[in-house]
Amino acid sequence: MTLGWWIEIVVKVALMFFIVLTGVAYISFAERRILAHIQSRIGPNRVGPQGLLQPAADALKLMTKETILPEAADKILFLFGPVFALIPAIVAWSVIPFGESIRLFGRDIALHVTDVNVAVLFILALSSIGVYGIFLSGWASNNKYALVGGLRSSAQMISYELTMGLVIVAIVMLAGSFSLVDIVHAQAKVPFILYQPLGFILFIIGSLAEINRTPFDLPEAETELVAGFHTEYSGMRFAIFALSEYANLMTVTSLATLMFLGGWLMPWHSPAWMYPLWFAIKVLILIFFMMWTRGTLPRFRFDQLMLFGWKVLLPLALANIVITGLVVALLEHK
Amino acid sequence: MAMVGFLLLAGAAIAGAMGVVMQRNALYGALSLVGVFVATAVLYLTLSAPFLAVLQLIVYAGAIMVLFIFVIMLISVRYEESGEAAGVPGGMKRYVAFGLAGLFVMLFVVLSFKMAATPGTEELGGINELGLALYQKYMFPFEVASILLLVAIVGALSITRRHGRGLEGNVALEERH
Repeated sequence: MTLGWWIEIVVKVALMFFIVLTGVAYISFAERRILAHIQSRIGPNRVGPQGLLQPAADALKLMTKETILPEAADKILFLFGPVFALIPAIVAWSVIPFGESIRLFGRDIALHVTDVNVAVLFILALSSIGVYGIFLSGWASNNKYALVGGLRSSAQMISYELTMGLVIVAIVMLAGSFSLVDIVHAQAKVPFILYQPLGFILFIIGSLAEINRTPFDLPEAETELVAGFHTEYSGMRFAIFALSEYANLMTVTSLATLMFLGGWLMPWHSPAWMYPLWFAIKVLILIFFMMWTRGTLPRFRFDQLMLFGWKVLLPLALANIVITGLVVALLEHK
Repeated sequence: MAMVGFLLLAGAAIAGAMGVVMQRNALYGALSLVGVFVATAVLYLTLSAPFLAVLQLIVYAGAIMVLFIFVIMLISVRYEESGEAAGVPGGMKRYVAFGLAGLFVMLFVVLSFKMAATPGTEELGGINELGLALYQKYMFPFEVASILLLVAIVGALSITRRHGRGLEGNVALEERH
């Protein structure tokens, strides 16, 4: 733990914050424009060229708004709820790698804040803690719509997290490691999406549900629950929910890229400084796919959601593990 | 350094445990328990058992406690209904603060994984060792434990089902679907 180590860590953490926050701002902007095009509208195009300064204007507006504290709310949890949602969403980024290490200022700089040997599980754990933010806010608001939204989100997240965890088991079997860097290296020849097409589909469906996006946005279903768990929130605290939601969107798409699409590796040879670029392109394609889904599919009914999770996705994920395990074991014994 | 970390975590865990017992509000009690689990998870981390730490978070904080809190929210127990006056107990804020402190300590320690590693204890918490021990050496007790849990679940279901409405009620329920 020399001075150089400390400087490196501090710079990396600051840079990661910058990447996540700008990423969130511009992904939400991109979503508004893309959804608008899908729905034959124009979308925000007034602030700056093509509306590119819209996120800054939004942030300014939300920060100057009043924080409304409902009379009957549980004050402490109401104020801390959004914080519980945001912290896990950002901390997850500390274990996501962008590429191989780069030589800079005479030091080998690895392109991640820290490489934990249980990184995949660490992200899963953080996302399951992120649920608290949503349903504590829903409960603390003391409002029936918010409570129903919070309850739905906890039920939904428990159900779909299970599927995601089981899909990850199959990936770990193939890679033989929980470290995201090792998982990417294991895909040097063939990306795992070719070995695990079913796993990829299950993971994408599970992650759509995990981050409450259409067609699984029941916790905040506008037409029945006003705005679900964040009905009572205003100003910056409301913005924090949107922030953590988009940060989670970036996390799950990055995870899918690292586990199924070969991370920063491409079928052809490329210099190490291109790796973060490939990684970003793959992540953005997945994010676009999720926006496209949002513009296309209607919302599930709650009982359909539960039946689908427990009676379709879960058995498929279990079958996926059994088959993967069998094949891995057979190949090893040959 | 390691000692300071241990004292902080142990303090957070104890404060959380006290909160579980002393909170009037059931939800705050459950949250204190989450704080205890998080503090214990970070303790595992400082002992070079990251796998155990993460499992502790996923299983206890992420699944079991979510279920507890789900039930508390569903039947909406608040301190008003426990026969007490509606006043907020004076110590409550302190406990919540302790719980939050535990959470932040966890995040701090997680970010400095490498710093906290104590060499030589890897074989205790490594994934490979744990897997081999569970599924080969202790295969039989492991399976027995899982069957025991299954029996407990079936038992709990059969106890809570209302008598008299037994089978017919269930059949009616299934037909409606």
